[in-house]
Amino acid sequence: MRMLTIDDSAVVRRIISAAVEVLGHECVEAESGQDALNLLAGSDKIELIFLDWNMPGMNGLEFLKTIKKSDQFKHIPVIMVTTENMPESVIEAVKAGVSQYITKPFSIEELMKKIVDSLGGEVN
Amino acid sequence: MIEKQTYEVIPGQVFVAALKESVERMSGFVLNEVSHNQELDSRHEIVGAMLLQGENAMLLTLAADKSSAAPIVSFMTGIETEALDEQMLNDGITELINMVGGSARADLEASNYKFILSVPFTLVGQAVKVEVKKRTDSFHAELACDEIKLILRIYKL
Amino acid sequence: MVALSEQEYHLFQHYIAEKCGIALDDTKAYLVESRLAKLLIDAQCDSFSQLFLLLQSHSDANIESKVIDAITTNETYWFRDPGTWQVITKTWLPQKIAAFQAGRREKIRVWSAASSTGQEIYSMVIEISEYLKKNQISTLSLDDFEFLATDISSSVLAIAKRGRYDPITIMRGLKAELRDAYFYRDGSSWVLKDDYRKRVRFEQFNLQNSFLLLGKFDLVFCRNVLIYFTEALRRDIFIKTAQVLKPDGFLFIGASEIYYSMDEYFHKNISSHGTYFTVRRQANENVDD
Repeated sequence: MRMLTIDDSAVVRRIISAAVEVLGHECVEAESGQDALNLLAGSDKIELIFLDWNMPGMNGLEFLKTIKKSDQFKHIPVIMVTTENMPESVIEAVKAGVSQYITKPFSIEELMKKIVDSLGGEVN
Repeated sequence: MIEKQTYEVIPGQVFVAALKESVERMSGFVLNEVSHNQELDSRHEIVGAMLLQGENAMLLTLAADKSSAAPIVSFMTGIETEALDEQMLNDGITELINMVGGSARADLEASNYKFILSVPFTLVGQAVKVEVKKRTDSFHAELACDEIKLILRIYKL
Repeated sequence: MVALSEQEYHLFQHYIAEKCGIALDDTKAYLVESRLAKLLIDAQCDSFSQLFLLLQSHSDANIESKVIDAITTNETYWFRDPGTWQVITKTWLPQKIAAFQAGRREKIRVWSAASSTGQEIYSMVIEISEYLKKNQISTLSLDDFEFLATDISSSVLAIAKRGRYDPITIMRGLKAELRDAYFYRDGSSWVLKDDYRKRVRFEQFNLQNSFLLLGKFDLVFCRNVLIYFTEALRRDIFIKTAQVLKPDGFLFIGASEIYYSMDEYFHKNISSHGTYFTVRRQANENVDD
């Protein structure tokens, strides 16, 4: 499966990519919402998105609302990975359509568990 | 109904706790606060910073040398220290200050030190020093583990 | 808005103290808040009060262990605290080998008392194996050692038992040469070779319980866990540990931990390599010195 991580931090993208690869999948990276939209428009099918909230330019919530309006991409599950931990924010993200929510800081184990949960599968 | 908590001075310990938790969760290192008698080192190679805007506005900084940032970022990403470039080190410190700000914000939401975050930024150089004139109130703490040394500073603006 | 109120904190403080003996003082309110906040989202609770009610209702079997895990699970890594490993290779191992060569044949027993995901005990197995190889010791082998690792959390024990680690976890403190020698690759993960993994017995154990059935040890690791306990439980653990340590056994605690009450039960040995504790002889025992 091919996944996409969107975060303006190279360190966070790397951590997420590593976790995805452990689980036997591929991960591509985008450093902004705009970058991500360009990637999505490319031919390779993306099956899961990791999304940061606070990013320069288009923020995570805006990106989320954008793809949820698109017939082509609205079915892709989105895991929000962010420092935003206020309950109002979580509720807003859930209403906008995120399937999982991870608050930073997180451990590798937490991250992997959430990915596995998202895929509805068991750990290998 | 949660009453508003009132702090007389900068609630530095909230930020220290946030830093300890952020570093531990992301890298595994457990930082301990070091008590100090002398002046803390004020020049570092990497200083992550964030403006905390609110009634009691503050400048939050996290200072480290490359030799301290490297093991943390290495353990965070799984990349060997030798293979880490400067950009990753700076990025790692920035991300940590981002997490500290984000975590502390929730904790101080119901207090007189409630704030909103600015975009985190990083100052890089060989001997970066942040000086805030006319400081009315400031807080600093040194946190260490093995070879790692980080200095957290908060200035009331 | 959801912050952890003082009242709610007290509820969890009490709950955790009862279940694990962990004393969360006021400085730990932040820890509880940040660790449990993540659970709120998963448990679909709007507040900490609601989470607490969920715990009390016992309607979610998982939630209790999730709360305990969230509070007690700490990160760890390989070969933590260089000083400890220096003492092990420069002082402890030579002593054990000499005793063995002089005819002492009981198993050399090691206990990791808060084993978490296993890095500490497996580091020990690897360290001993490397030492025996490097120094070409043939008179004893890993078969002469027994390794016990315990933790209060069954979920970290499950991970430790499998000996399987992701690429980031594996490199935290473990040199590539050692990783290549002791682990094999399975996909992107690294798994500790069976010959080493099978030597460790993992068990769920609450340090509030009696240590009597554990036997006696030549080395006990009790690192970065005592910080969470009440003064009373700590003292209790010191007494119990002193009872299960053999006369020349070593105790290691975290490099930055300092507990004054330890003085009553242990002698602190500060060597050029690092710090370790040995059982203090009782005043009414015959002493040679």
